[in-house]
Amino acid sequence: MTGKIKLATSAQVLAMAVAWLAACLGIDYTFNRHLWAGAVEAPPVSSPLSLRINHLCCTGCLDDVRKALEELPWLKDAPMKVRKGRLRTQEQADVAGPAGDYGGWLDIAVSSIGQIDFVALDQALRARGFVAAQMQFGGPRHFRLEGHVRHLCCGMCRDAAERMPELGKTRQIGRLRWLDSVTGERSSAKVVFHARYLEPNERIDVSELLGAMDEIGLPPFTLKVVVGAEQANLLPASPAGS
Amino acid sequence: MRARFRYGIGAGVLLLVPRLALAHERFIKHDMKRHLQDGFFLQQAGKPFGMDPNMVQIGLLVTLVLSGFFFVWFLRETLDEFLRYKVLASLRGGLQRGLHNLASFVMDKPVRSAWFYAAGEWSVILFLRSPALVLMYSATNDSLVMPSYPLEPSSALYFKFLQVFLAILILTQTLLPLCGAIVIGTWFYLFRWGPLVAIDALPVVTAGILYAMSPWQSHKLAITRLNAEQTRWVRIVLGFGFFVLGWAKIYNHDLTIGVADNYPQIMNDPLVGFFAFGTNPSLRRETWVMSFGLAEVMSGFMLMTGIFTRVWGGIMLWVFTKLMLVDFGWDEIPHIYPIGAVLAVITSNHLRAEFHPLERIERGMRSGAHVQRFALVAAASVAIAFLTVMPMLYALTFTDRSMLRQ
Repeated sequence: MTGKIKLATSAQVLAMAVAWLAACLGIDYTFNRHLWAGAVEAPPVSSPLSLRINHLCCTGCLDDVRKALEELPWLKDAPMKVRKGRLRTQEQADVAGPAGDYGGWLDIAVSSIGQIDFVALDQALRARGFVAAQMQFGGPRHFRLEGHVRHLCCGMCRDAAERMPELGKTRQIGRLRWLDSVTGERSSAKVVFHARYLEPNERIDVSELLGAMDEIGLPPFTLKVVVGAEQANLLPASPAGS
Repeated sequence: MRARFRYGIGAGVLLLVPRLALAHERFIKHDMKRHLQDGFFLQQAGKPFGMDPNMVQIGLLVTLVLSGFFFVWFLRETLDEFLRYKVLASLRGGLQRGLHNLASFVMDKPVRSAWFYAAGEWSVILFLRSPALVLMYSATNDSLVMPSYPLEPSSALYFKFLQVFLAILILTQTLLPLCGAIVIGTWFYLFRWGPLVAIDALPVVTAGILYAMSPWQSHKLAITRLNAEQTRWVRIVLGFGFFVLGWAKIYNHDLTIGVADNYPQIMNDPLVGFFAFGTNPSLRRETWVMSFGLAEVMSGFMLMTGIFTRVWGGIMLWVFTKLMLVDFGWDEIPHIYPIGAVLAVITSNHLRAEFHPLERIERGMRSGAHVQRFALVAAASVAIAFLTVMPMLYALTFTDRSMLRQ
């Protein structure tokens, strides 16, 4: 028996829809506070290197990050600036309640981009108990990254390195989108990552690359930016991104 | 004055501008291989109305095709009479019935056939339940409602369970009005992530409306037919969704060409090729985006206004099925939902158009004054088609797309 057929009124449907919308927003506000914190400020043009550190709560954190970075000769006197506002002091942070976002961006003005070594940077931070969730690099519109690995013994090792752009594609989450192709050189255990032309103010995230190299089992011990003409033997045979 | 006018148009269109488009098309590969000539889509000095002549040509060709369809539609009763009394009258038996059913199908008239009725029942069942499949698919892929909106890991668990809960209600046909309200409420929530995300999920709202119009005792009923009012709203919302999506494809042109760069076979569509016919070959990618977007605008508008609903629904059915099975494959499996919606609409025997006043005037002029009747129909067809395409195309040339690249 179905009984008398009852239909929902427009007011009922509207009330339920609004209640559901409120529930969704409530979940969102409770669990995704960081998304309600407002838009991320753009990095200054003068800083080619920006680090996103997911735990940069107070001036104490910042001091330790600075100490970690200043151990690198090429960052000894480099100006570093927290992008958004002023950090709390340690005392203020001690009594502060839960926050939407505990991390922050650190913009670093590097005088010579050729000196940047992302592996050394990563290791220096980790040695002090920090990790960069993102390492954004930008400035030159065309460049490549040269990494040296300890192990590149055979053609298959080189092939594995050169297939790295496919790793980004299979994940389909927008990772390594900036990477055009990869070439490996067995004799010098060198892997060259050719970036696509960047739009003005566009940046790449080098931590994606470090993660991908770990995944394929070829962790580099140096990774540097190279701007300028390429040697003939390192020209990619075919664009891997095609 | 001119600057203020431009500002006004720009500001109006900015209401449609997305705040966040990064989430869009996460599952379909869309990395652009080569940049488009952005100037093509924007105001250009020294050009008529500041618009690229190739853009104007495509717009006018689409206007022409739209006008043609409207013209034939408004005169379809005359065509039907001709068919019935001049062609079908001389035939007998199955051939006569078959041709009559075919003509009725094309002209959106009731098709009196047992198999068509059965297909309609099955289509409604598919349409009512297919959103549950999309919800389950989204839940297992860490997205909300449509794959274009990825969930934040910190809240993903809750939204995934809620989606599965909703899918169970839909599959068991329990409390359908509540399901409708949940679908509509979730769609409003998607605006939080920008209009483009909500636009992408707009077709799902058609199911929400149908659920909301169903009885509370839905679990005890076999719902196999849509009534005239339900059919109308499903058609309008579905058509509006594709109409807006078509404009969004032109506005967010980098995303559109990015998909084509990864699936170049979709650039060989005959209708889209027809619209781009005769344009500058050096602007092939730009004119393709324009033609592709306007083809969707056109089909969405036809569906929304109920003009040759079955013809345009049939074309959409073909396109969605091809995209799902041939071009994109598994990544486009959520298209099973609009396929269900379109099937439910085109197999309905309650189709009608949204131009009743014009149809009434045309009916009144049938007894005489043929020249005036044809002139009225032609002028109305051209005016509707022109207003559908050209003003919005012009307005889009004033929009700033820079935030789409952030």
